Amino acid sequence: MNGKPFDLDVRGLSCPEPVLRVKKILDTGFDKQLSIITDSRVTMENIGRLARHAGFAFASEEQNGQYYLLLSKEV
Amino acid sequence: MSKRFLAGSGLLLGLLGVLLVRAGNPGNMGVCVACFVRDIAGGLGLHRAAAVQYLRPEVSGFILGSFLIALFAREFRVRGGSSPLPRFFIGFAVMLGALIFLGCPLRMLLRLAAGDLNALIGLFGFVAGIGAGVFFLKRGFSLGRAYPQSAGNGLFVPSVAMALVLLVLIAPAFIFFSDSGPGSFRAPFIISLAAGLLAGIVVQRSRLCQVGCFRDLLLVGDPHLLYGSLAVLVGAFSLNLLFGYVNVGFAGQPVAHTAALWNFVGLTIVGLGATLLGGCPLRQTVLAGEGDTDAGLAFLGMLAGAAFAHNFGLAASPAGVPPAGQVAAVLSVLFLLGVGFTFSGSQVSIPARGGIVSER
Repeated sequence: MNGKPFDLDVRGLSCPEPVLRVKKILDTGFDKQLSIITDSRVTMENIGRLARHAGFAFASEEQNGQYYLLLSKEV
Repeated sequence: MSKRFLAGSGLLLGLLGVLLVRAGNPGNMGVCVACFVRDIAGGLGLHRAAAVQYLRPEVSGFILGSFLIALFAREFRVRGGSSPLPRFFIGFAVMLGALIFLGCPLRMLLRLAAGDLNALIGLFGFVAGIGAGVFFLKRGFSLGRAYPQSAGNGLFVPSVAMALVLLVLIAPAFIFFSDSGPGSFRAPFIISLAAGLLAGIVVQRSRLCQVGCFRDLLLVGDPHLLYGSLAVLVGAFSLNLLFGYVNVGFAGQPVAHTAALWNFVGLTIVGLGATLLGGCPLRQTVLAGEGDTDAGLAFLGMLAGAAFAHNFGLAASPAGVPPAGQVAAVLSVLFLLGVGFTFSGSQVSIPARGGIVSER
């Protein structure tokens, strides 16, 4: 798998597991940012919604059908 | 997808659900994935319950609509391998539960929107089942990852849908069409197919899911999908009012029974099973169209479950739930609880900063 490094791989997981895994990390706290890879647009949308609700900045980038998501703490 | 689009798609689904009744479908059954898959099993002769046999074009429409729009929107992704066989049997159990209640979660909403209070009991059971599913999700329940598959895998379910459409049109002698009972109530073919296609397209885009709505609320406090389900209610209720279909009460509701316990348990099974699958029967059908072969297995499990339910006298009727059906319902609950515990394992650990996490 070429491409960028990431902290959490939620590729191929059914709803709502990706959101749940991200939420667990958000709840326990993390440093500055969290990068995630998914292969599903729906998952990308769901994690984006979760991030915004929880007050994190959210960015996503698509590369060859993979979505690289970046959550960061808003200062 | 935006809240507005989601609500719009729910509204459309609610309107279609009543318009199709107006056009000839059975009462409060304009669209119902469980009932229609049951009718398809009958149409193919997989069961011989003469009252429920018709290759409902709506279901083919859901699949083909999802397939086409996914291709168009570049979301047709062929994938699979996330516990296919368990998904088949969970789909099977979901169908048994739905046929004990007499409807999938979508029909539950349509029944509610016409004043059928048995569906309210069902709703409580549905939420209880989803609650049980959420319990397992919180314990780390997972059917594992799906992986990309070659494109051909994703063509099987849409091809089956296409074949079903052709079989209705050609109507060869080996295909069954009910002469009486719910299976004989049908909207004109082209209207059914068009409505199914439209619903498939819209639900694929909006990600509408009747299970997701309560699941996300219970799990992460996210009401997003709830707007879709509420919109189904609003759409259906307003047209039911207009057509005079609203009849508030328990008794005498179309294609429904008043056995409260079993209405509750039936939809508990559906709520739990569909939470374990990751989506309601409609959502599974739509996913099967857009290349999710695991959802395809769940769909086939529902088809097999429907055939089984009517071959062995498990399905409910307006007269109530037969004893064998009650036993099957209890066994389904036990089976799903077993699946829930079996597949709940270690959760993902917090990743080391900058490190690549792999698990499972």
